[in-house]
Amino acid sequence: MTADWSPLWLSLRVALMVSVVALVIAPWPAWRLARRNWPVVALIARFLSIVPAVIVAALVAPALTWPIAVAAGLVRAVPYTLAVCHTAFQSLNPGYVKAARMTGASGWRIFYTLALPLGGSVVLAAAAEVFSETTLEMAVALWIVGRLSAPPAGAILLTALAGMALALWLRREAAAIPERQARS
Amino acid sequence: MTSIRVKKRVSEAFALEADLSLGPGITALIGPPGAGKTLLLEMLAGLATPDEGRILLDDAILFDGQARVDLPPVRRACGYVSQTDSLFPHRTLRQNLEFAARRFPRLDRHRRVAEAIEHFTLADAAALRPADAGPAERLRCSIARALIGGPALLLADDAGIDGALFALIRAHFRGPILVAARDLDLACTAAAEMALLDGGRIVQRGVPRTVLDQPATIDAARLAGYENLWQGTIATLDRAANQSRVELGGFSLTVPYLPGHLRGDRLWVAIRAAAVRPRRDDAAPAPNVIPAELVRIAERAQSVRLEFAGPIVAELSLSQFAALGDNKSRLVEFPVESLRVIL
Repeated sequence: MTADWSPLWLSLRVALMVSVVALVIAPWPAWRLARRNWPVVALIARFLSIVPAVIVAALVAPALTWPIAVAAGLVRAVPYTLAVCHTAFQSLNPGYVKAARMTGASGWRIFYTLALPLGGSVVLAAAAEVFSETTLEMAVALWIVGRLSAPPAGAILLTALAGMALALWLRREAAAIPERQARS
Repeated sequence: MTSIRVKKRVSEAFALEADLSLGPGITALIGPPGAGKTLLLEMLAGLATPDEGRILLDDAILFDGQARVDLPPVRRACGYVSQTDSLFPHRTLRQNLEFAARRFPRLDRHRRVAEAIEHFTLADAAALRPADAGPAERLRCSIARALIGGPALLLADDAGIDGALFALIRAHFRGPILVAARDLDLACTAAAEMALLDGGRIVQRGVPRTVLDQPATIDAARLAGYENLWQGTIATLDRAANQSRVELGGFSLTVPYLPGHLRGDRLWVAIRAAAVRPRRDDAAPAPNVIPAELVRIAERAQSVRLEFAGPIVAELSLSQFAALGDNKSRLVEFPVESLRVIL
């Protein structure tokens, strides 16, 4: 009997869409938050980022279709990516921003010419973590609704681990940047 | 003429309240860390907003609290060299300059970048990222970036610019420069004027030599490097002999006559450590020689620092210290001409 691999493709599709959408949506508000120092909003984002939304969706939704799963995944992924980016952007040397402002660069230009290239590794690491966590959440959700067999579960687990490994590597790269900058 | 009159409350404990005008040359803003030097420079640059006041640059209003004028940084015609290394680390030195010049038309931009590279001898390092360039090249590039837009005023925040680099800047920029620094020697070497900033207030300003030799307040004396500061009272006033005697808690000194003051008036007496002269016991008698207990000897690279009870600090050259011999001083002389009385 051949295994039903559709849960794996569903998990991958949902996780990929969630991470891409979060990657597109979250960094700009995170940059604005980091520049304006609104700790309450950052705290709310942190709080939302710990909600296992896909699992909740599996418990309450009549059928776990991919649009529902993506929507539920974004409830957690966007605040999480926003919170991670917020921390990364806050640690950006304020001297860079001041120097850019002195040249007349707009907030948007500073964002895409400075904040994104310098915080890019952390932003990508957040997306990889979102991908990894969403695949795991999808696995649990599919298991709850009784659609997950052992082979796709193993493949999902391996995919999630690969995502985590990528995220760790990107975070190490990000941590090494200040050291490289300090070298002279 | 640049005129600055600003107030800004940063916290319950600290408020900056500065009134300063800048001449056409270099003005050194001297103060300890936390005095408000960076904040004052940032308010001039438009990176921080004063609570009230007015900033004029060549009679153009940059900020006016009452009229609600607050020009953005790019319209202030100020170049700003920050205290920390602020070159963009992911761009080469040339790209850093290009970023700063990008608001100019293409040909003008290329000309400005090429001139900046030539003026500040950056040709060899232009293709390097800041982390791969040397500290001196990074600093020159920071200055070139600040000047590339053709500012009317250059602001340099304790960036480590030395006398030679100021000379290089002066060769290509004739406008006023306000440099925040902690180095008094730099102020004497390069600056035409000096302003002492302490606790958010300008405590004295003027020609560097005058400020250093004649501190007007006790805070100014501290900032001007007077290590020996004693509070006391006037004990005697002798107009005929043109001298006064002051009691300084434990010892008394003779200072010049203090007209317009009365016995019992409180004052401060200051003297630089290098002007205090430890003497051999067998030396000829002199005024203002007092016995003092030597507490500590600290050797430095080019001098020796003697600390006496009092506290009194003396700094001797190595040869002066050697001349004292074994008799390491139970007597200390305070030359009258080196004493500064602050009333």
